[in-house]
This record gives sequence, C-alpha cells and structure tokens, in this order.
Amino acid sequence: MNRIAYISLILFVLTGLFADFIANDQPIICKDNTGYHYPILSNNFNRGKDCKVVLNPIIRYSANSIDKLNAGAISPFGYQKLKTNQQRHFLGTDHLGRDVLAGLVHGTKIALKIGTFSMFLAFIFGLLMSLYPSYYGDTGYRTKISSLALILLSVFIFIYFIFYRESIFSVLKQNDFSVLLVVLGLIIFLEIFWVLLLKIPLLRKPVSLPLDSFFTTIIKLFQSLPGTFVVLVMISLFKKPSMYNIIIVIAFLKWPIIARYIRAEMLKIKQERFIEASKALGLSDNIIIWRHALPHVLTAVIVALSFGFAGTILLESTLSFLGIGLPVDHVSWGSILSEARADFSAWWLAIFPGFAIFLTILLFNYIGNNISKKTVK
Amino acid sequence: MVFPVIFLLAILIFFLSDIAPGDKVEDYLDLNGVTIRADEQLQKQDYIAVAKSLDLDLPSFYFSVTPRVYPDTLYKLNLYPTGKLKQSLFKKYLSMGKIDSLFFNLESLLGSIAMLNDSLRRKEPYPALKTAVLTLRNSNSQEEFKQSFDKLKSLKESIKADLPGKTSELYERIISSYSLLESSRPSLSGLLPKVSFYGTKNRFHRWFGKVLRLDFGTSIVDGRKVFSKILKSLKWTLLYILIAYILTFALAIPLGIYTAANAKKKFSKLLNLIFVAFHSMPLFWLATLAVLLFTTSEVSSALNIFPSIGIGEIDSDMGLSRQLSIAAPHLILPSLVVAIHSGAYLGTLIRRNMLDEMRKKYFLALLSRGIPRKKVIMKHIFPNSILPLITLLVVSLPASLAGSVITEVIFNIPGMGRLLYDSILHYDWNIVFAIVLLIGFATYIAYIFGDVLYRYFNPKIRLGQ
Repeated sequence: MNRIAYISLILFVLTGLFADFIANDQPIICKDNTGYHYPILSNNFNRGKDCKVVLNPIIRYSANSIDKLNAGAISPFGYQKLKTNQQRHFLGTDHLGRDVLAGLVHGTKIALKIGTFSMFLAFIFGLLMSLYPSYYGDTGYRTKISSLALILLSVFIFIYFIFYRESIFSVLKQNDFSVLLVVLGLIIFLEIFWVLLLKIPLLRKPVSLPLDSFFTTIIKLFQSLPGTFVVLVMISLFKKPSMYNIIIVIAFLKWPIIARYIRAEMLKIKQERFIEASKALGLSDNIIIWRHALPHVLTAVIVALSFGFAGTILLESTLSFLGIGLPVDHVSWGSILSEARADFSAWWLAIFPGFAIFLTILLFNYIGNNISKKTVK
Repeated sequence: MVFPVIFLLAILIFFLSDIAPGDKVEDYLDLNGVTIRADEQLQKQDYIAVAKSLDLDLPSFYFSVTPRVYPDTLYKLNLYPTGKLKQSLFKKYLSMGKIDSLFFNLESLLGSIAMLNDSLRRKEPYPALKTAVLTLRNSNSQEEFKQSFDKLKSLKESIKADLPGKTSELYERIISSYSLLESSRPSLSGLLPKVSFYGTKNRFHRWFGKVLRLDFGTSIVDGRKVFSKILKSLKWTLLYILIAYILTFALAIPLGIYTAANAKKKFSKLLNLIFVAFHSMPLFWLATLAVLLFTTSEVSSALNIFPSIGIGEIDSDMGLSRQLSIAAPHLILPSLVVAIHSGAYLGTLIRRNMLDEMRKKYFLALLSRGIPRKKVIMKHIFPNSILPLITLLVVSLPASLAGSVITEVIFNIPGMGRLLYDSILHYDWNIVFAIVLLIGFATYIAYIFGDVLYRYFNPKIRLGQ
C-alpha cells in the first residue's frame, strides 16, 4: 500500500511538472533545414510545414486545442473522425471538441500549482502566527510597557503606510533624498519616543503578554469560518479572475490548520529535556526556537501540509466546478466536471475528472495519515 | 459578549462591501430603468438623488485617520458620477484644485461642442474629440484615465487653431491643466496623520442601525427586500438540511459503533474503507453522480427512481403545505447525498474516538468485572467518545447551511446557497453580505451553544464546579 501511494505521489508531481510535454498539440522536437527546434519550450516559435516531427507528445492535444471534427462531446468508445489512430481521444471530448485526457493532464498541473503555492503561503503565515506564541505561552514573554507602546506605534505606522501608500509614494517619488530623509526621520522619531518612554518609571515595569491565548483566539476565529462559502465570497471580490487570487484566498483560509499543528507540536517539544538544557546553557530564545525546536516541529507540519493539500485541491475543484475563480481558458478538473452538468449523457465528463480529484484527495489523506502514525510511534 | 462580536463582524462586512467591485448608485439606476437620459444634467441629478438616498454623502465611519493634505469633505465626492475617479486621482496628485480645474476644462469643452450647430458637430474632429473626453471623464481607474488621456493627446494634429467655438484653445487648456496636475509637488508635512471625528452621522452607523432592524436594503436584480428574499430561500435549505442532519446521525452513529465494536471483522473493515472513500469523494462529484444515476435514464432506466432535479412546479401563492407536498419527493435525493457524505465523515470520527477510548484501561477493568461487552460499549465507551464531538455537531449546522451552495446548484433547489451563488454572479452585494453576516452570526451562536452543551453533558465540568 505504501509503495503504491508514494509511486502515485511521484506520478502526480511528474505529470503536473511536465504537463506541457505530455499533452500538447505541438511536437516536442521537430527538424527542418536550420536544425532542431523545440516548439513547446519556445513560446513564440512558428512552426512551418517543412519542420519535420521528430518526437511527439504522448497526447496530441493541448487542453485548449479544439478538434472541430470531434466537437459535441464524443464518447471514448464512440466513432471519432481521425487521421491516424494516435490522434484518438482516449477519454473522449467535451462539447467544444477539447480532449478530456489533455484536460486532465493540464488539470494536474493546475492542482499541483495551486496546492503547492497556497500551502507554501499558508505554511509561512501559519509559522509566523504560531511559532513564537506557542513557545512563549501566556506568561513566557515579558516586556516593558514602553516596548509595547513602541510595537503598537510601529503597527500603526505600518497600517497607515498600507492605506495611504499611493499618496506617500507620490510625495516621496519627487526625489530619492526625501525617501532617505523620511526613513531616517522615522527611525530617529521612534528612538526618541522609546527613550522618552523609558524615562517614565511606571512604563519601565515589565508585563507579560498573553501571546498564546491572543493568537489561539485568532486561529479559532479563522477556523470557524465556513470554508467554501468564504472562498466564494472572497474570490468574487477580486475584479479579474486569476489563479493567484485563488492561491491567496486558499492560503488565507488554510493557515489556521497548519498553525494549530505547529502549536500542538511546539507545546510538546517545549517540555523536552534538550530545550531545558539549552535554556540552562544560556542560549537565546531565538536560537532555541529556530535551530533546536523548529526541526522537530516541521515533521509534524508535513502531516498538516498533506491534509491541507487535499483540502486545497477539493476547494479549487469546487470553485472551478461552480465556474468562479479561474479564468475561462484554464482547463481544470472541476471545470471539465461542470460541463457534465449541462449534459448528463456525457458520462465521461463526470467520471474521469471526478476520479482524478477523488484519487488525489485520497492519496494525500493517506500519506498524511501514514506520516502521522509513524511520528506518533 | 454577543453584541461586540456582531459589531466587529458588522464592521468587517461593511468595509468588505465598500471595496466590492461595481458602482452601487448605477446599479440602483439600472434597477429603476433610468439608464440614459438625453439631458446630461438630469442624469446627474438622478445620480445625486440615488446617492443621497444611499447615504453616500456621509463619512464612512465614526472617525478617520488621514494625511493632513486630505480635505475634510473628500467623502462628499461620492455623490457625483465622477467622484470615484476624482478621489483616486487625488490620492495620487494630492491637489483638489488642480483636479477640479482639469474637470472644469473638460466640461467646458463638452459644453462648447454642444453649443455648435448640428452640421458642424458631425464633422471631424468633433465626434472623436467628444468620445475621447467622455471616456476620459467616465474612466473607472487611474490606468484607464491615463490611457484615455493618451488617446486625447493623439488627437492633437486634427485640432486646428481656426476651429469654431474656441475648440483648440479649450483643448490646449485641458492638456496644460493635466501637465500641471502631473507636475504638482505636494509637501512632505502633508503626510502627517490627522484624526477627524464625525460622530454618529456616518454611513456605518446608519447601515448598522438598519441591519439591527433586519433591513439589508434591496436586491439590485429585482428590487425586492433582501431579508424577505433570504427568508423565502432559507425555507428550502433548512428543510433539506434538517432531513440530511437527521439522516446523518441515523447513518453515522449505528455504523460508527458497529465498526468500532467489531474492529477486527472483515466486514467492518470494509465498511470503514467505504466510509473513507465516501468522505474523500468531493461532494459535488457525489451529487453529480447521484443525479446522473438516479434521476436520468442515461445509465440505466431501472435506477431512475427519483424525480428530476429542481423542486417541482411551485407557485408562490400556493399554501405552504401544498408547496411542501410538491417539493418533498424532490428533496429526498439531495438530503440523502448530503447525509451520506457527512455521515461517512462522522462515522470515521466516531469509530476513531471509540477505538481510542477502548484502548484505555477502564475498558479492560469493566470487562474483567464481568460486565457484558455490549453494555460496556454502549454505556461507557460511546458516551465518552461522543463527548468531544458535541461542539463539532452543533457547529456543523451553520457550516452545512453555508456548504449548501454546491448541493443546491447541482440539484437546482432555490435555497440560500443557490441565492448566494446567483447573487455573486450578478454582483448583488446586498444579498451576499447579508448572507455572510447572518451565517457568521449563526456560526458564532452555534459555538456558544455547543460550548454550553459540552459543559452540560460533560460530567467532569458539570459536577466538578
């Protein structure tokens, strides 16, 4: 079972990475008077008639190439008008005459892309939101009130900058010198503010920040959001459909899961002897967190990433099934499946992409389960 | 705690609805059928009237923090059709006077073209000039503005000095006022923040007041009240979700207990595999397959046992019981699909929790005392294993309300999910954000309720304190 799972994982990744070489209406290599050409690699290469095909992709269609002769949803077993047998649509065509198998391969690429990037973003964000709070807990982080004021002020400046960046840029763009001046001024201002605050004895008093409960509240809040629903609404707020919107929105929705895993793992590791030992040795908190605790945390995160990947693929295919989010020319598993809704007689449009999604989700859930079982031992 | 949460949620949703694409005033004008009036002045008046009725002449929140150069009344520009463009230009050039003079020049050029007699007006360069100025004035973003200005500039050669009505002079004035705008040099000190308070006379306050009275405005698609529209669709969603909910329990609890109690039997292993398979199947695929198999004769006519998708022919003036009796057979399949999908998940959860519980020592202790295994499992293991799930079960009700989008789109049920989907496609933001607010609130209430239930059912907490 394990071997099957890992082989399919490798297959999934390879298919996603080399989707353009597996399914394309251009040959991989062709030859003419001037030598060999690689039409897929060079986007604007114009293949003349005298460029002889040396190596063809396995599937002779791109996801978007329209075979007019076989338009109108031809079944895989139905009669197809073909020149050679290699041009057969092995999984049939859709209503426009696009090859379903090529669509599935392209869908793999999209699933891999969206899954990887959104999980990466979610991982970074989840790490930032949970690593320090879970290490320090509710009482571990002690700071002076004045530092707190400084932090709040910086947060205010940051938000102010984000809101009025256009105006600020247009003023600063007049000369580079003023940029330098403003940055220097800000630093000096913050320094003076800090020094002045330190003069007040009351503000020198250390307080402990309840970092952990603050950030767990945020995580819980985000986790209570109903997923499909929030993604639908947030995607629709973007003016133009694009893959990057989906990546950002899904990452925004999925980071709490990863943050929770990191937190749970960190709480366990905090109790370990080697952390205590490194504290006794006088190592700084930063070094303990990043160099000693993080490697142990990461093994647990792989589980969360695996489950999250499955969830991401589900969300993405749901979105493209509903026709929201991805641009129209991006063929994905969900978008092929949504065509089956218009015409139920085309069963191959429902079965194959559905199986692709199903198997991928199953695969990532299985791998996640497997790793979590191993790490528990 | 309830009120602050609603308040925060409302603030979030209010500002989200503010950045939603589209011009609200024009949506309302479209709804009332007043799209284009021959007289531009009248059209402008219409726009202002609608904008006033939408409270657009008020500041958006109780206070604002802006750079010092921003005028106090920047929000008042929302009243005018060109307001959004002017605001976005101001953010870049920070000089209202120069923007105003540019727009004044544009208007006066348009006016001077309108004063010309008909035969002159039809000759080049006037039509091209007019369209260029109009696209410039009506552009929605800075990029569009810049592009249309380049187009206007490219007309330069066709405009000769001896054209009637001072055309070339006005044209030159536009060009020069634009270059003046581009070369404007705002001062650094203008960037310092300034806080202004507006009191309760602001857009959020009024909107929130209306929301508390359950008045979410009107839909821009058909002009009906948002809340009544939502209530009407909620009826169907609640109906089939509740059926599905009951079915889920009826399915998951017995099967979960069975698979856990007989974990070593081959049949229960198979059952568990089926659970995992159904749970890994995307809901929309499951639903599509169900529709394909059971409501059409495409695969086999023997399996075509359920009525077709939709909820049957229902008039709104029918009685409720009559409506339900027509719709009920149509709602069986969707609720079954939802129940199987979520029941499989719940079943695996119950199984896993029970197996965890059975590994504990008290299970062995109870068995060794001679209590029948069945009794131990039903009386001790099951209650203990279901306890952590109580919150999840309660919270999943609003979540399934929200998740109903897919089921309703596939089964063509005119429920809330379908309404949300259609509203998103039509940019009907009033409905979208009303649903978001209601669902968010329902989720929060469910969380509190789940917490209370958990405390009530958990003897450790109930008897401990």
